[in-house]
Amino acid sequence: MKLTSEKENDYFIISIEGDLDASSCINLDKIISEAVSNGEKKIMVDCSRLSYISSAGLGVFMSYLQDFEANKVSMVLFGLSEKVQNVFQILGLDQLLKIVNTKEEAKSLINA
Amino acid sequence: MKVSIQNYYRAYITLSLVCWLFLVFIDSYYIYALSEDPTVAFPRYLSYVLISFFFLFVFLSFKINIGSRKTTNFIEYLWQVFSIGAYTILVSLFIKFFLYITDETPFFSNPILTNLFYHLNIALVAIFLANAFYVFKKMILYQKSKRTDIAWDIFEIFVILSIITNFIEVDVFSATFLLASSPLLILGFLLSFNLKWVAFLNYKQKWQSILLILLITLISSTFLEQIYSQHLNDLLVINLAESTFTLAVFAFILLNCFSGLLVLFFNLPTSSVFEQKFGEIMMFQRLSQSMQIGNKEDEVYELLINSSLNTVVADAGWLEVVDEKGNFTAFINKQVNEIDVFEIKKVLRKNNISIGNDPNYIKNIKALKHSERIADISYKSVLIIPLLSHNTKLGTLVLLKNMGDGFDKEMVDIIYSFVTQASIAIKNFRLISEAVENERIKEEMKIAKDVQKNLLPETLIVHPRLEMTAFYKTATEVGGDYYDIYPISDNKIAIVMGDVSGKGTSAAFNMAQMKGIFQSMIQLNISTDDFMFYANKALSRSLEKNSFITLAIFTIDLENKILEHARAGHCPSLYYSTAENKIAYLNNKGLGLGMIRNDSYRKHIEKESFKYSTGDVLILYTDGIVEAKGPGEEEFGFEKFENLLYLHHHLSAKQLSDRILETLYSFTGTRDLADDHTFLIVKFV
Repeated sequence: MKLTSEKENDYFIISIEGDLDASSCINLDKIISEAVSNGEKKIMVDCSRLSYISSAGLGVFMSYLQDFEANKVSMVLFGLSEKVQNVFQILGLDQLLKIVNTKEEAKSLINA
Repeated sequence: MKVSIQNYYRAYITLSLVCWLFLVFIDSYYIYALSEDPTVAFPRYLSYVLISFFFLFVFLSFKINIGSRKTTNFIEYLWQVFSIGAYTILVSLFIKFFLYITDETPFFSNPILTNLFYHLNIALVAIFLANAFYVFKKMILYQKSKRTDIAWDIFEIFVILSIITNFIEVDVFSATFLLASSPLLILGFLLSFNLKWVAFLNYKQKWQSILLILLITLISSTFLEQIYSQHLNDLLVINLAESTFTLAVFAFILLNCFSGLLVLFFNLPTSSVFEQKFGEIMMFQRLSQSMQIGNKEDEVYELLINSSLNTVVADAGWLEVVDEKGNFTAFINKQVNEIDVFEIKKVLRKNNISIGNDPNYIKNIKALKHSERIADISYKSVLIIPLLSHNTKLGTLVLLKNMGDGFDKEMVDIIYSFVTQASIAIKNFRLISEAVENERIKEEMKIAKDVQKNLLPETLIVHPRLEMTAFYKTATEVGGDYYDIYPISDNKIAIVMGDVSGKGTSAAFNMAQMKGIFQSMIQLNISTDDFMFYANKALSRSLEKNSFITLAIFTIDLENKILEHARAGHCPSLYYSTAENKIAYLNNKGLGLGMIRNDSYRKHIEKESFKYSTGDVLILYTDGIVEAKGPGEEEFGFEKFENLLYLHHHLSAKQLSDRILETLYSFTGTRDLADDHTFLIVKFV
């Protein structure tokens, strides 16, 4: 798995490429926790090249739900493949996370 | 066997004594007869036979006696030759002296008495020769090769055979005789240079050997001189000076002494080097033995530092051993106290002398900067050698010497080899203990697997109107998949299937927790959505922040044929309806347990219920089934699973299960899937 993060205006964009499984999710956790402690408020996760997500990977997103609420951070996932989106749906995580199709939609959702 | 050899030995001694006594008697008789009538001619062969057998038996008895010795103490051997030689020569000289002072006395100048003393002398010479001959044999054949062995056998046979020349009058100085005996002489000469034993003596022992050999030479020469002086002066029945045999043995002994002296003298200067090398080899041997016989790690440390100190004659030293994380596991100091070690290390650190992968040598530590605090210590040269194994540092050995520039390159090399050897030993110890630990963990995991197996229901036979079968397999020893059943009443049964996030041990613990929650809460006969709500509440307190559990729960009311279910983020169960002849996913709204850890969870969960009919089939499963990967990373998927149920819904639950597994594994090509995979089939009959 390849993980990159970049700052675009006040958006903090994390891009995930490949499989997000038990071993690689630690890195994602690190990036998100750093972003939160750096005071990032608008986090976007680019999942367009995310091919597989395991329960441990989902656990990372889930574990920040309360932190985000407390710190008024909004996080939006975008570009999920149908398969990955299905995993989020089965789990019910789509009810808790903001998931959209494109980067533009993500931006407008964050600013809304 | 030993007894019989001892018996032979005694027999030979007795026989030799008997021969000698007969010889004395017969020769005395001849002399007496001759003194009465000088014209009488006696055949001399009887004397010759007796003397020959006497020689033979004396030699054989020494051959047996010395041959059975096992010691490799060569000084002891040489001492034996010398001491027997000294005794015999003393007795012999005493006789000579006695004859000399009694020369004028008529009684003692009796030829019979002279002859008796001469025979005594013969016996002494024979004992000395036999002893020396076989002792030298033992030394020559030390670490023998096959060729030396054969050469010796030939030599010995010929020497023994030469006894028969007693019967023949030979001029030992004639050209023909010398020519005929020259091969034997050459053989004896060559054999006398087999002096491997010399190499095993230390300096002191070499000097002892030289002294002893010189004395042996002196004794031999004295004997020879005596024999010849008697040969020239007296009338003798048996003349040893003309015996080829005795001369051959004398020649051999003297040759041996000569070559021995020569080799010993030449070996003297190199002996200290040889001794040192030998010492080093012994140290290495002890080091490698200490590895094999499973000594403690501490013993290897002791051996390493002691060997190193001795080998380079260092005045003091210390050894530090560290573990993988660089923490000290052992510290041994010799002749240097800990405070000095601390100060020396401080000086090294202040001078930026790091201990890398190569040895470091400081000719005079007191010449370094910041060395004021160690001005009082006596050490000057410091040799620092790291203990390494595969580039990981195991520790450091530091040796100290009082004089400046006290270590030469050769010493450093030797210590380096010691350290390498010891590093291997230490590494081996660590690998072994690691292996033991791994084995223990494996054992523990096996136990955990058995424990987890007991968390699953033993039987699925609960009601005659329900046909149930389950399949469960974990990717590692323990897993996070879970299924269970519980008969709430005679006609109401609860079924559950869950999947804990993550894998392995942590998942297994949470799976056990889930079982506890299910088994206790389901007894309350609550609705499926209430169950999820309370289960979420219970788990919220105990699950790790990033863990969750997905769960599907069903209650079957067999009396009213009503199926009620709720889904907490679990894979939607497959349902074949006979009435509609189609497959449905029971995909009602739900959220994984532990995802929201407050009461708002309730709004994310909803129950559903419907009437089932006979022939309907329900399959609960975990994502390990649909996400099982075949060749080319393709997943087994929902479609294949769904089709299987559609095609085989008429089969019994067990047959359907077999069909599913068959299809699944032929798709993946292996039964060892990367993820836990579980399913449970319920058929309403």
